[in-house]
Amino acid sequence: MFGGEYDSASLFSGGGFMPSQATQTPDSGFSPAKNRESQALLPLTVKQISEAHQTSDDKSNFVIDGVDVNNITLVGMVTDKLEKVTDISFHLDDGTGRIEVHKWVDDAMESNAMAELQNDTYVCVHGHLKVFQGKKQVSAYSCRVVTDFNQIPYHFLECIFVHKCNKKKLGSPAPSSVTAEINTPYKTNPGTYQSPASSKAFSRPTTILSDADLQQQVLAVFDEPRSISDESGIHVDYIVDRLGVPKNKVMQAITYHVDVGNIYSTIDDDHYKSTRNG
Amino acid sequence: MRCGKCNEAHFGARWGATGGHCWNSGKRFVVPLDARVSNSCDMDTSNPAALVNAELLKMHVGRRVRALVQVLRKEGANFVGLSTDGHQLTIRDSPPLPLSNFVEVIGIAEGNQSIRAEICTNFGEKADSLVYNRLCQLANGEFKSLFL
Repeated sequence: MFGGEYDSASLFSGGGFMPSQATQTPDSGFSPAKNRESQALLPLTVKQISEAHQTSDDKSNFVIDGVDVNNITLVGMVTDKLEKVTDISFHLDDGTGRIEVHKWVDDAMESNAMAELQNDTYVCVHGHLKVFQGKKQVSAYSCRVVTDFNQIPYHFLECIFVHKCNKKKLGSPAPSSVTAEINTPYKTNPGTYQSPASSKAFSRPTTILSDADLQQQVLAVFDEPRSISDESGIHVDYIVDRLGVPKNKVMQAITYHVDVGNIYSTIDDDHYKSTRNG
Repeated sequence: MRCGKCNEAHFGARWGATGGHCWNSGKRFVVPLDARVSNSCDMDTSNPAALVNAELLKMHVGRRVRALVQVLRKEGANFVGLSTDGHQLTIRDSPPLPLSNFVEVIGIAEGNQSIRAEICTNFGEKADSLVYNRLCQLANGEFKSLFL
């Protein structure tokens, strides 16, 4: 995601302030698995960082929602930008608070990219959270200007989602309704993707379905790309399975849609297809 | 950090500074000693901008807010926009820049239906106002602790 211009060594060396790999490895008591987990990027709001407590005197050891915080993602506005020869610093204001961000500039290409950052522009920062001279600050690996502004609400929804997940892991009872309500791409794990209509969050008790609701849901199944692309249409039983509604109810809805011309029967009386994109 | 004289937050001052220029009066101000030590110039969460739609704007009158609006018409230095929950809002003192269809306004909530703009960011011709609206509700409700 960082493109080809960074090699991994410069990404994680933190611009010279962190101990080098050689000294770090023997001292570290972490198992490789734990170490890798703690390197993951955590989406956060500045407010969350301000409330993070340090677990020890170690200058980069924070815990938020029971998770070790090292690498973080922030999205916010640049203010008070200060450009120097070797580094650029600014305050990032994400609307929940402000935090200082440092970016060490290694080469000309980076300094060109950093020149794009102007005050009052939105920026997405990936970096390492640490304490320097008694204050929390972010040492940035990458700062990129936000061009798709939907990224801003998505970032905050991701913060909420990750916060909720981590809270759940902690064992405290988290409020339940949210996963169903926030419909973000982050919700679904690509490995376990289910189409929305079949996922649990969207299935409703059949008893409260009105005829109109059912008709709409039936049509929705017919209008799915998969149903439309199938030459012979889809079988009635498939809809019964998908919606968990008695077959006679489904047939009523299908008869209705045939009458108004939304669908038509294909190879036999059990297969129907949407007239859309016919 | 807070000014030792007028007790208002001054963000223009560099962290670690012992003083700066007051944004309100333009006079020099002094950072109180305790703030210099306790803050040791840490981060500042004293002046957040709450994510709002028209409904939530009412709860933040007098405070800093940010809202996504769809521009309807210009009226001199002001413009009228549609909030993410479908109500008309008056945005005062918008900067004299060309505005795109969707604009995020950061400013002070002046009343139930008006915001005095400080920063307007063009979000372009398309923006997902449904998601933004839902975020406003979550950020002022169940997950307020992450934001305010």
